Amino acid sequence: MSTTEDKTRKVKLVTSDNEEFEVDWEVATRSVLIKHMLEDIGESEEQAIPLPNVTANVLKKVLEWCEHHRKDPEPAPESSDDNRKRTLEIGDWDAKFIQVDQEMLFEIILAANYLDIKALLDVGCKTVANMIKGKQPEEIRKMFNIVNDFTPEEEAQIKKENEWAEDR
Amino acid sequence: MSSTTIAHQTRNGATETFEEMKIRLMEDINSLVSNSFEPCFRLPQQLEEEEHFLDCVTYGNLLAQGVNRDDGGRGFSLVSRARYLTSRMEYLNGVLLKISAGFSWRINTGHQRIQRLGAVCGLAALPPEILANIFSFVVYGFPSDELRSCISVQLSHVCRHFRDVVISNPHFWTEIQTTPRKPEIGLVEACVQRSKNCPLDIDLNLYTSAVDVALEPGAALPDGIPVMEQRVECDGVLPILIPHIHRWRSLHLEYNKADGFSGSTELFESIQGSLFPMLQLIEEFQNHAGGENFDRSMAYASTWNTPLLTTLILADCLPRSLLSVTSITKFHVLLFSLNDAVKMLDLLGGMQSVSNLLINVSYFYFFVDGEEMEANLVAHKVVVLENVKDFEFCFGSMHAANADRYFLRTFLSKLHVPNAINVFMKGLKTKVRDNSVRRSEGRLRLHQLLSGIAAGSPKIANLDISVERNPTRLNTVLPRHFPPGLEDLKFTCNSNLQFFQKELDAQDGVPELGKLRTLTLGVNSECDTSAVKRWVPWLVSRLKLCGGWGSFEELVLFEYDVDLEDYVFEETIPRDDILGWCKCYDGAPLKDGYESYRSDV
Repeated sequence: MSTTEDKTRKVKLVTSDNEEFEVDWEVATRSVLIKHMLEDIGESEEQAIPLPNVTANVLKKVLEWCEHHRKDPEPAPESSDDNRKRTLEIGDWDAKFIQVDQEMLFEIILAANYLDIKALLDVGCKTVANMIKGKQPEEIRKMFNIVNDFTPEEEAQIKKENEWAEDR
Repeated sequence: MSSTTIAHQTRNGATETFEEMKIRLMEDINSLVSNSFEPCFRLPQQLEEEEHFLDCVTYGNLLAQGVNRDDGGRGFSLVSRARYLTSRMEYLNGVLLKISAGFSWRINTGHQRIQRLGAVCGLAALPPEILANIFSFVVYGFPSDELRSCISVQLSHVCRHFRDVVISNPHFWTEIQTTPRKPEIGLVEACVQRSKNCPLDIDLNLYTSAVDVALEPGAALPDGIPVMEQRVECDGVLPILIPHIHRWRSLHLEYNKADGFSGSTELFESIQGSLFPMLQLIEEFQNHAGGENFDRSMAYASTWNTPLLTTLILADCLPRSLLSVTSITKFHVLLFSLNDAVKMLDLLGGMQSVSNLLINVSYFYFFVDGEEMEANLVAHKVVVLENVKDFEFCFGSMHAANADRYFLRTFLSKLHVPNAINVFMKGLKTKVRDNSVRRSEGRLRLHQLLSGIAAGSPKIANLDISVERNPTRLNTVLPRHFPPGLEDLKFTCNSNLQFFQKELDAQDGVPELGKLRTLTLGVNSECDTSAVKRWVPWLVSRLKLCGGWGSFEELVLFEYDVDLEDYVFEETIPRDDILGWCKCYDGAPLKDGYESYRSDV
């Protein structure tokens, strides 16, 4: 539970390329990783949090998302049923936010995973899922330059599995 | 002729071979590239000099020196030199444009390459758990019209890494769904195996067909024509799933007409009395697939031990008995037969844990001889469901607007949800079935239909009343009974509206409306909605009387879109502007040639 003091507090973050960002506590703690690190270091305001897996240009983008979603409620813990109905829809702001080049998209996903920002991770994963959904294996291979590396035995099994769908 | 042998004429009339011209062009381009690092554009030196020379020619010079002509007198020599200079520049420009066009294409491809490599490197950098998360959105993400297990299969056919991630994750194989009459048996077997010990969500197709009754020609039929029996069959999916009943998490039974399909009539007999330790949800959609006389009592489940069963979603069927009926917390039912109303009340009496209740009787059909059924309903004791928090009741608008409204009112009076917080009353424009009574449809008196709910459920905070009528020129009387705890009231109606204030105030007294915060109103501007300009001020006056005006916030307006058949947001009116808005509100029908519907007035 955050206190009023927390909300006015500033947090320093240092990226892998040694850039320093000073952000509001409320923004920084959208990241569960940063939140736990802040809990570990206690009240020390001067101590910067090192983020060796995130570069400045990616962190800037991640912080833009955190700033916009600073007031969002904490995400509910995942249950085993969560997988069963997952919407692929992305909110208007998030959809615009994630219109970045492919390299940045995956960098954001990796950073969200590292920083433990589930909602941002989901926005990234949904974006990639929307790229894949409805495509045939060959189309997916072409999109990601994936080589068909199945052995002849595996190819035979795949051919058999394809018949399941052809029966329909 | 080879291009290398083509001879080009120079300005002096001399010829140069293609090779010589190539060398000259390369020198010129070299020179252009070198000059490009200087601040201003400059031609190769020779061309610059020629340009300078030609630009310095004056009339006086020519008078003094004479005007030369090319050999053969074809033209002035200086003009020929100028023409030759320009043609050299055009040629150079042509070469450079060709190079530039080639570059543009390559640069575009280069940008695509950056994007593709970004995706390729990005995808390759993802740890398997993120890839699995992306796949779970692909497989389980909606909207989707594909069988989920088929999506899993497709993903597993991309490459070995994808296949490892998809096949090693049992959650991608837990949904068993097949095509009616052509079940994908191999896929079901793979799902059962690959889902390991995870709970299964099963959509099972059952097939119904009439059993032929052999009648001797001319045979006497003292009891009339015998009722056709129905045969129910299943396809090859059920036998694969029966050994895994301990993993069934949800079971959806979809009844289809057999249409020549012949399977096994051996259904759930072998699992009577079994324990289903994970089964949480049963859905059964009969939808008249078996006809009027088909057994709709879910007898198969009467002996099932389902300790975790919490959700029943049914269409055109009602369980005769269920061992776990007391644990049901969510009950949604769509019924067609009036005969089922009393049975449902009996069933609901045992469902004291229900917190989410949806009853849809909008498709009810009423027979001429329905009096006995109605008498049974009248005689039924009131069923009180203390735990219901969310209650949705869907009724046919035509029933509520004709003589069947007495049934609806009686039915609602037998169902008491005293602690409901969110209530949705939905009048739907359902059609009359061919074999049921067609009664004339008139004014829909919402105030009469809803009076019991308002009085019996004082804790309702959110009340949503939605009425669809066909045709829209029929009159609907605005509601005027509201529970005292009401905070948000939403009323939408696509038809003409009416409101009778004075006489009804005298009859019913004044509703308590002290806690109302928002009023959401959706109307059809093609209808006569002028009653709104009296209804809203009446609500305001009730709010003021009850001391609730100070905390009331706003009126939110929606407009019915005839093409979308839905309401579209129009505007929000702050509290202090509401009475002013009412004065300006017209509510006269916008549609040209509109005629007021008078038959019900």
